[in-house]
Amino acid sequence: MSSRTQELNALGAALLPRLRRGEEQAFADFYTVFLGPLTSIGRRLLQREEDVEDLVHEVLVEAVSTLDSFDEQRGTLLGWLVGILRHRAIDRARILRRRYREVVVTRELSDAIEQEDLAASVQDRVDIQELLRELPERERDVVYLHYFLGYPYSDIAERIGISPESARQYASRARDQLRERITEQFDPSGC
Amino acid sequence: MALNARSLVTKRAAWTGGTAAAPSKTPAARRSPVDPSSLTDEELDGILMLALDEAGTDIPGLDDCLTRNEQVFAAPAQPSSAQLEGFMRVVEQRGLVKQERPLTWREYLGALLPSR
Repeated sequence: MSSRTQELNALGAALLPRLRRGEEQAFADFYTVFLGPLTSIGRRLLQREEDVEDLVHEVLVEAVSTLDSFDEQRGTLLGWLVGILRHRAIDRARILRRRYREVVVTRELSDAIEQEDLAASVQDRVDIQELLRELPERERDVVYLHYFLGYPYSDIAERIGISPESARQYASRARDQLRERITEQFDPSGC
Repeated sequence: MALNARSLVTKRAAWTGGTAAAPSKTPAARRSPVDPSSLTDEELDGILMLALDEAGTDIPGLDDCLTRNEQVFAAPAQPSSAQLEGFMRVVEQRGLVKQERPLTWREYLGALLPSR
């Protein structure tokens, strides 16, 4: 069990009632505690430091403004914040793509946006959350680190102590399972 | 704008902190049919990424994954005073502060005693 994540989760749990009571100091503590972790992840998703700073600020403001929608029975405050960050990073990536000709978002995010129509069509038929729930732990970690948090396979391999090729294979197995699930749900005519 | 209009009308919209936005430019009726046999790895990558985005934080096992891979939170960033002030200004403007910080003894006494 990791001490850093435990520490962040404990701090989040302690801050929550204070934030809900509207304690002024709790908001400052919240910003101070979560700025660093979210900046780390933001840097994986967007390339320009100023975009990362804006993104993290926006996420922390959004979080305290919509705290009523957070349900601690469904997960941790940290996980909730990471989810908002990822969601807003994609929104921002779309805006940045329109604004700049050069690539300012990671290639993976850019590819994902290209596939938006297809993804929406597949999600109408396939329960991808169920697929994720059924993935073995190691495959799921690789999927989340690569597809959700934007880590390249080489970094993932180093972090979890496997070769980059193995990391790619885990992702490949997850893709194969997704392909199988899609094939089951779509008939040959695609209707 | 949120990525997919469907996410705005499901229970997940509130969970992710999603806000109301214009409808998707690609309603279901206009989507191309999917031929699973021709899906490339890149297309599957895109499908996975966007499915994860739409799920917001309601992602099975995400907390456990973050716990196992704590290095993702490595940056020891501390907010500058300008950043913190900017955040607190927004918090106050939105009326989120209901209880101000208790006064320290020094501040309390300073408020009681007449200034010289």
